[in-house]
Amino acid sequence: MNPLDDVVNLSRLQFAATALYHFLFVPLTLGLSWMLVIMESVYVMTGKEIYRDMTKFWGKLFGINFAMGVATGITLEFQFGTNWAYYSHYVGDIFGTPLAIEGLMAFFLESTFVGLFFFGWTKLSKVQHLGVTFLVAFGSSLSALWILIANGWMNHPVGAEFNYVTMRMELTSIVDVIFNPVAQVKFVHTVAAGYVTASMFVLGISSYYLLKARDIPFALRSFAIAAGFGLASTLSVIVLGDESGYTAGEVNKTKLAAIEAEWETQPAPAGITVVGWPNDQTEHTDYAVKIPYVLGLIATRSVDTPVTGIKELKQGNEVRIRNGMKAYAALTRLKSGDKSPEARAAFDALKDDLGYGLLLKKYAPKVIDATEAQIKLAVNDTVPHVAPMFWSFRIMVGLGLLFLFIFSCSFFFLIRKRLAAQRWLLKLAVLAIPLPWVAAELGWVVAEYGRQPWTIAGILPTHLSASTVPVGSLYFSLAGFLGFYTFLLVIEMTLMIKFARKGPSSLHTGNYHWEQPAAIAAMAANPATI
Amino acid sequence: MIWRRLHGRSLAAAITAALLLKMLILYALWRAFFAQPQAVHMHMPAAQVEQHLLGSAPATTGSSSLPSSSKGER
Repeated sequence: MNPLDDVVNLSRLQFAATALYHFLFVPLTLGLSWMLVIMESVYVMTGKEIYRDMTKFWGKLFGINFAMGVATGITLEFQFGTNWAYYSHYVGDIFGTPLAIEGLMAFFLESTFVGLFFFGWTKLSKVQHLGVTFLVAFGSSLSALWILIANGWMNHPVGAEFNYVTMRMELTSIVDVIFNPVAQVKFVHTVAAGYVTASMFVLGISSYYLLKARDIPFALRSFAIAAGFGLASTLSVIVLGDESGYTAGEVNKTKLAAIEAEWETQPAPAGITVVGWPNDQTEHTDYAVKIPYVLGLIATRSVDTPVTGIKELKQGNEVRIRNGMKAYAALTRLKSGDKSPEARAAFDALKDDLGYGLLLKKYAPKVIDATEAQIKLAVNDTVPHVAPMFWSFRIMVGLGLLFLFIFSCSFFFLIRKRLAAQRWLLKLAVLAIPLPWVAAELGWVVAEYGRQPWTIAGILPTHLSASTVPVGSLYFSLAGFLGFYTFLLVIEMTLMIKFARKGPSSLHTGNYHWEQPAAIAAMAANPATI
Repeated sequence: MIWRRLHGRSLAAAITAALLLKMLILYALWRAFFAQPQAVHMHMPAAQVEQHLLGSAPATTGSSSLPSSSKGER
């Protein structure tokens, strides 16, 4: 393998590993903060102490996650300037605003009010403390918004234009960047997934207490909030996921075609492949099981608009690559000093396809002399491998349907007051605790792997975005990051398990299971029980 | 070992210790691998970007495309 291919792939691996590790902490913070707002609101409205205890106990688990997760995203920003220098230069003018706002406003808002949440119980009134909890939740969502605006721009770069003098993208409309439809859909889908994660977390741990028959009133109330909030959130994720599919159908056609293994353009409305075995070599899905019309309805919201297949998209991309070669030649002419209006006009006419021309750089360093075979290789690169997209998406959706089943059953049996008899459901809820994280990580695989071969869709190819750092440095920093995140994860799991087992007894109010005389006696006889 | 050490401490003490250790590791990683970024403040010399994107040298060869003087400065 070419040495720099190693650098690009290692840089990608490092970014993917750190982003996926970072996102283990994020969804629980996003979701649990709003659940704390619900619990504390009930406390403020009813005055019942048990809801204050619930806010404090789940707040303690929130605090563990927040403390372990805070600043874990900064490692991604480390990598921008060092491993992805060319990408950083290209996007610097666009990303500066959202990342600065995220750092200065959202992060500090969140961090400051987290401190007040923990230390303000005796110093603030009930309503003031609720306000603080609300601001923690609001700050964490705001933080996610700005990051996803930046990420959405990478998938759909609007409100910016390439400046050949500075050789970077420059902001033309911050409003377009903020209201980018991809960013908006991504934001609501991601935060709703965070709500599902937190709901399953609370539902699973509450189910554990119910199975152990301890702290029943506390567990039942927590279970009820988690079931209601989880059911609403799961339905939101499904609806917003559908909206995400529609947006992809509008602006990320290649990603959509790869997700659906849509090799050919089917007559409208296209059927959806539920399962099958996509084969990148033969460009065919073996053993495909299809449901008619569904993909067309999801992706186009109509019965007469076709969903473009991979083969047709590749034909379009070949045209853009050939235009990109001309744009590359025009840019070279401009950079060599020809500032004539004709040279400018030649570049301006084709500059939207410059990125496609740059795809050839991997095979033909001069680009303009690329052979037909090299153009064909570049055309093949314009579509990500289909099988990882196809399966990641289907496992994510399958898990989403499982969550819908669990939350629906939980809600149903709870309002029918038949929950105690459903031990299978309580056990399933405990076992399902890690699954929302699996679904969220797969969602990111679909989103980011599906953007390949680009770092900025249609503008900058991944292989031209990476810096040229030594391979050894990448291996060592990757190992350092993996060690760092694993260390945090071990601490988080250790503390979470310790305090989840203790339950509300960890609040030392004297009202809960492990503080009762019988439990204390049992614990003294066998300390391993806690 | 971590379990036993954390088990005996209060939550505040455990979190404080973990946070301090975390900051220390983050600083060490940044210092060792990321303190000298090629793109300072997400910006590079336009000429270097031009050379990378438009230069006729293969974009996928060699271990560094930095000019030798730049390497020396780093």
